[in-house]
Amino acid sequence: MAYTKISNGGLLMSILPGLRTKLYLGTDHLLLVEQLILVERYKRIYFRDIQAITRAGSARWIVFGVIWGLFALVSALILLIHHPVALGIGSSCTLLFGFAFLQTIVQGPTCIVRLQTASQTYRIAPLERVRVFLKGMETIEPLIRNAQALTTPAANPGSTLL
Amino acid sequence: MATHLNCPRCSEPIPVPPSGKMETQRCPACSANVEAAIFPALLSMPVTRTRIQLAQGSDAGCYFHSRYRAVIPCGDCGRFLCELCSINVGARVLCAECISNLRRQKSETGLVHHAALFDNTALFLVIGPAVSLFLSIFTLLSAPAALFLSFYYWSRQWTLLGRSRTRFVIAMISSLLLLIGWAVVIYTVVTARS
Repeated sequence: MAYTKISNGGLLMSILPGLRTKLYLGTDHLLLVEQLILVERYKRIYFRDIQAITRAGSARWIVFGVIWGLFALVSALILLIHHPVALGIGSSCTLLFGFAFLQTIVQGPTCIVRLQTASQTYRIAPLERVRVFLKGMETIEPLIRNAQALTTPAANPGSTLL
Repeated sequence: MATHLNCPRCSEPIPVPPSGKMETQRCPACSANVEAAIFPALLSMPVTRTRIQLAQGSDAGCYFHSRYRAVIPCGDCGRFLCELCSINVGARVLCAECISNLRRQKSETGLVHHAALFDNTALFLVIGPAVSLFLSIFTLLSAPAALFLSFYYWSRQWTLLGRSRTRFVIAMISSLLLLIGWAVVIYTVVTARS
């Protein structure tokens, strides 16, 4: 089955090994891939089972922005020590945390996204940036509506729990 | 019928207006502004499920519950199933036993729900002990293990979405370098003593 990637959860999720969550689009379902170091888990959420997708704003990007910004600032202060080692460590740390800070700011506001079915609620971490969420919803929402318009209750006696 | 949504932040229920259209609503518990896309599945009338009926006369009985009337055959094994035993999987109806069996078959990609990542395991075996100062002695054992895993699962590793072999290559090179390092250390110690 061919899958199209919707989101891979941002740069930080891509870099950190074993903590990746990706969202793919299948023909009649969404595939949530959760990687936990040595195992990859697949969750299929069929379009016909999706009842709602909810989103609430989150301050995570501000918190992380402040943390990375502070780290970058402290690293920059190390540069004041006139020593080659301090210069090396300070500049590399400043670059690293500065990049993380900029990346957090550029990616924009974060949110908490949950997808509700009759039996479960899934947290959709790959869509937890407002911009990514809106872009993803542009793709997903019409597909869900189409699938549910085509499915009559009589032809759909139960929800799939896989 | 589910008449409420759950707040994504605190999981408390939020009532859905009868119109079913909710753009933004404040969560009564945490006061978060919740936006929702509501789909017909939430608002559709509850499906009247057929009650499980007892098999009578010439009725075919369920394979698992012989007293119950069969309503549908399993899409894989063909066993007659009652309302209780039929499980919808995508477009198919299967019995629990077939689901359990098919999940182990890699050809049935629609049912597989996990895959082991041997490339990560190999990489973890090499990098983990190597970077930690106190555990680096264990690379003497973990490096050959990682090398074996890399070669053995080079073409055997299976994941639903496909995966590059870069990690295997890194694990192979790292473990070979570690083994060469150990060989040099052991040779040096032995020659120094003799």
